Amino acid sequence: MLGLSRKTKVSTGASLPVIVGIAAACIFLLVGCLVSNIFAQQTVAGLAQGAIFASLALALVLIYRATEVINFAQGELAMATTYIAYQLTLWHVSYWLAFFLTLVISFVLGAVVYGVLIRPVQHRSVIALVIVTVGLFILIDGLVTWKWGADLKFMPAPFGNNVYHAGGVSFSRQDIGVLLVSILSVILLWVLFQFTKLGLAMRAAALRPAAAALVGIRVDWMLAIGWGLAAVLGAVAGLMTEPSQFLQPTMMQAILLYAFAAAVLGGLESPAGSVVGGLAIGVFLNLIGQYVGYATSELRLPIAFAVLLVVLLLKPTGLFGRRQVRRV
Amino acid sequence: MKRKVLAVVAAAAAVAAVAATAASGAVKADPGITKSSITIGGTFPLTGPASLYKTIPLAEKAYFDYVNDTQGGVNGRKINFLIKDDAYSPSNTVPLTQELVERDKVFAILGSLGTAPGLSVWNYTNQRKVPQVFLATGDSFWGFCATKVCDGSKKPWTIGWQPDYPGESRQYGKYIAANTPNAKIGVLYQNDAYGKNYYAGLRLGLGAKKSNIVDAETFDATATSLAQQILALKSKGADTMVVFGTPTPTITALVTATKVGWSPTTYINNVSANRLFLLAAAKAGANVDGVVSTTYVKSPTVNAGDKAIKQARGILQTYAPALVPSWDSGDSNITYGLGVAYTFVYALKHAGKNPTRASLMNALHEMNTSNPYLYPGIRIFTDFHKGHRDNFPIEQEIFIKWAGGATGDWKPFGKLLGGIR
Repeated sequence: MLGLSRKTKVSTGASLPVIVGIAAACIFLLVGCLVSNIFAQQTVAGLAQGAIFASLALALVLIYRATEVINFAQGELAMATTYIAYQLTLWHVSYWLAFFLTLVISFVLGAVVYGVLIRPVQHRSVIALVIVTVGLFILIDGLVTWKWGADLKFMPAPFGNNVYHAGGVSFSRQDIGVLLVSILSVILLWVLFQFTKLGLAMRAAALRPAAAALVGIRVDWMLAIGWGLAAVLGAVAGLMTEPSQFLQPTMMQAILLYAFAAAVLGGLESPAGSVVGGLAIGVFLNLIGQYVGYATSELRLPIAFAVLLVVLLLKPTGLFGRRQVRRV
Repeated sequence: MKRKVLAVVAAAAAVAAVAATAASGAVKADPGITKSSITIGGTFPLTGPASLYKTIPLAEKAYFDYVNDTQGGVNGRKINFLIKDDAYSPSNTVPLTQELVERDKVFAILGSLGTAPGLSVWNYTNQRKVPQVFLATGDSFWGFCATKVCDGSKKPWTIGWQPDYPGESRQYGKYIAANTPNAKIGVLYQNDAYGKNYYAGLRLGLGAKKSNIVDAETFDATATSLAQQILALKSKGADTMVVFGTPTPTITALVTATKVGWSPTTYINNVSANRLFLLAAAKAGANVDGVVSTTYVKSPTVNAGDKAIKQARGILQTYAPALVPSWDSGDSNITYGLGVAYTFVYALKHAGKNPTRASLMNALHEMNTSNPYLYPGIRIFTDFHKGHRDNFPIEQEIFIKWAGGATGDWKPFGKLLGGIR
């Protein structure tokens, strides 16, 4: 399935109309923010929420690129690693130390999940892989409920309660913090992929495993690292969800749904696309909630998915997707 | 000769058998009840999204164990209380309730938690004439449907416990209309029957002042944040926030409001007003001072000096030591559980020496008693027979207001409110 014949010809990611569209959306948001206080607040809150979608969407994309499977357990992995951070804080580890320790633990956990559960079935079929990730979803959910119980848990607040005032607009420090941490982790990952030898090797292992192996790249290791990094991104998403949703085994399930949407909107193979997709969905949901009267909470999700459908009809490969042409 | 003897023996045996059957028929008891025991059971969310409530059944069991040990049960029958975990999901409630009735042969269903779970089995329990007692949900169905056709039939075998939700929210409406007639009210409610009932009650209570509602926002189970709704309420100029949700979103709403720099006068519903939840919200950064709600049970902390509350701690220490830390933090769900168990014992005592399911329902339908775990002055009252149609055990509440921030507690204020149904 990952043979040499795959993707013999690819066109570039974002096409001109898409770039123009995104630029127009940004200008629209900027003007809106300058004109209206509530617009600005909703946009920032939406970006913070969207950044969480983006982190998890990026984790999905990483794994999709590496293993060609949608990891249905990504949200539950993120939830489980957040519980690990919670356990660390219970042991009187300070919040930010627990945060970074959790990222390390998540990396190992992600790599181990790949090595133990995914690798053995990787070349069987996509269905087998999907079943394994669904099983993993149920397994993690059960283990967490067994260990920590299903009732609500709370971690120390990472960003405090301050509110920043800028020209009559008040931004919560929490929203800004969530946005910065999520975006920063995404940028770091991009740097890793784009500018390091390791990143190059990982891209090679994902794109052309056989060729990569021939030039001496240990493909399995690279894929394991990919899963590890995805788990790290998931942990960031989980930890950034906690301040507003608190800890419970179901905390990431709805977010995973939005992350799927973000990943698909972005083109499923494009890291940049998933980030844009996540932010767009976060902002879009907040703004229609504010300004479209009939978009009550039961309609918000359907409206978001209807828009997603329209985008996919116009651009079947997503905003940043590459059209794959196979030579027959 | 031999044959004759055999025939006589056979005839005697037959007579004896018939007599035995007749004798057992005469004292044939309802399922679940013997000379020395009575088995009851209920479904509760021990796991899952509503597992915050799991202290309720544990407290009920502790109280029954206490009655069994210190009073030998009720009329010499020890109460055997079976707790099943339905994780708050009706798809589990149905088979588990059938299991309780058909395999475990319970005498009655007691205290099963949740509106949707309760509705999922009430046709079944009423068809089988199994008492469905003191459902832990504040919907008005349980009270009205004993005499009114609901969901296809009357439900005389069902009775609730607490004041009903719309009745409660009517009190907030009345209070706001009377005390802050110029309030700009923003409502945040759960987008389901539960939240909508509350919202409807609030509007009724506000009366003409319902035009003061500047915005009503909803949220549902797929909400990943309440920032959008809270910002919307704030932007519409609301200075009063009324939240009708289950505990988790209510805590989220309190925290989110503080995080966006908004400090409205806040009202939350009784279900979310457990001290534990407010402490958690405060710990997560919410400004909870001045939050208003209502209660009908005593609080382990506010009423710490109360005789029954002091004694209750001793009961828990012996029969449910795991609940003691939660009790000491003010978990009013434990008092709730103790109160339910207390009144069930009361009803059982009034159901006759040899209770039947029907005599239990009779006792439940004519209660007029106090309960040491309810807020002082509140009475348990039902009147079902004498032309009245009152099937709501508790109809009184008292307002409470939070003070003292992250280490604070509720302070009751005002007079007892009545007629909450």
